[in-house]
Amino acid sequence: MIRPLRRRHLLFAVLMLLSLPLLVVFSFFKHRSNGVVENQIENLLNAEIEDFPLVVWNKPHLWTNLPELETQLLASVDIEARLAIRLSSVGSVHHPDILIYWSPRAYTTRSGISENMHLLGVYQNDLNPILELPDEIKDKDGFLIMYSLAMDEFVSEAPLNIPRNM
Amino acid sequence: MSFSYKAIDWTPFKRAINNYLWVGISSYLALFTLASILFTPTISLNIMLIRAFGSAAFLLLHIILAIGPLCRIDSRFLPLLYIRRHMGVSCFILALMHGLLVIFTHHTGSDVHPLVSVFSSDSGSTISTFPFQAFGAIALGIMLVMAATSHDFWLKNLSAPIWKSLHMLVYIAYICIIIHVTMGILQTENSIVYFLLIFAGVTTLCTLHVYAAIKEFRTDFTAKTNSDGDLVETFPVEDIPEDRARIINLHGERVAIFKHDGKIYAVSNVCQHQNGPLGEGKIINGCITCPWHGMQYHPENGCAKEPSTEKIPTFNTVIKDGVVWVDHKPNLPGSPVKPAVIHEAH
Repeated sequence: MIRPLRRRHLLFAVLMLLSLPLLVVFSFFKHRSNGVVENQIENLLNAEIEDFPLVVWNKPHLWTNLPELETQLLASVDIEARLAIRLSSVGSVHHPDILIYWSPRAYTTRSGISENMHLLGVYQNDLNPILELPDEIKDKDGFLIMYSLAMDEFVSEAPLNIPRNM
Repeated sequence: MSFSYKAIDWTPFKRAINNYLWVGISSYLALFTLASILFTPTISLNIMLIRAFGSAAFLLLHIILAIGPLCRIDSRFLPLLYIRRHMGVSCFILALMHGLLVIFTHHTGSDVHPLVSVFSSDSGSTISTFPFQAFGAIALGIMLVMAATSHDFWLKNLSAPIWKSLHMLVYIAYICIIIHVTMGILQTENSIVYFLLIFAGVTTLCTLHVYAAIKEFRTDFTAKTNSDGDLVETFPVEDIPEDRARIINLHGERVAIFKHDGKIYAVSNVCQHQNGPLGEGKIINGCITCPWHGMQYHPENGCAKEPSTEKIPTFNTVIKDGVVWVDHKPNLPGSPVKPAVIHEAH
């Protein structure tokens, strides 16, 4: 009566032993080769490099926990003297849905994403996004906050100092 | 709902094991919360709960799936079978909490229906371009069916073979969950530790199942051939322990041969409650007691102890020269048989 069940069980067990460990290995190598998954809302709010030809400063190791991330402060040459942040990474930031905010103060667990933070744009590996600073904050010191929207989680932050002669 | 059924009675021992289950689940969730607060203080409450419930369900499913083969390999694991169904329902509740929190956190707030979003949002998703959430939803659906039919009412009315076939869908659910985890959240993880842990869990579990299945398969194909008419030679009387059984495979079906109170009884090895191996149980208070859930049968007629109404086939036995011979043709379930008396035969 239950021999067919036992036969089916053996079949399932063998198939699982042959396939599931391979699946885990495959997922690992897929993960390592991709680095990070694509962001479907790329270029949202991103500015063009031609609009910001001047490099004001270039600082590596500015972000907490992300030493591979390099930050540049760029400026336009027009009369408006607009500023932008350019982020580039030699490695991968393994967090999904990363948003970059400007905040007047350092991130704390309690603050979360507050109303006095400004959304600058989306970060994505290999795209080196250029994020323009809005007029109301471009002459203020503050902090750049990296936040994973999918995980609803703080990822990293970096102090942002604007030279006074800008 | 006019079908009648009688659930297996609870005992203080079964209740104690069940309490350990809830203590274990609560402790895991508490420890996960504490570790999250310590090591990822910036995590939001929703995400922490999604991870806590999801990982708890994932871990519990591995434990549940390991119980069956472990019991085939070592009888000390048998008490875990008492709460395996409770574990399954608990696993479903944890997975449901995980799923509801994911839907609430990630799939509400747009004009797409949340359930549609679960199945459609992964193409180009930020976590994985693979539709991993659909696999999680399929697994949750299977677990829902299993949890809903886990009660003895459904076992009785669907019959054990159909119920067992239905509940073998757990393997499909497990495969879906491994795909859900490895092609989903692990794609955003930096640490190789998570991959190694899952690889170890999957490999260990599947190896246990293959080992146990091969062991069972060998038993099925170790047939006795020495026969005299309908009678088949089995074991010497002294090889059968008192109040215990030896199991033999007769024409493809297993028969449990018990020795009790100077007599030899032979019954089908398959418990009608959940197909447990009766021959691995023992005789308690004069009744054959299934090692899986404690269902009891009278050895002299194969009828379950009242008020249960299940019946198992019995087999005629004789003793020749100190060896038990069993008629390979079963009697109808619940048929009284005359046991072979040991001292008369000697």
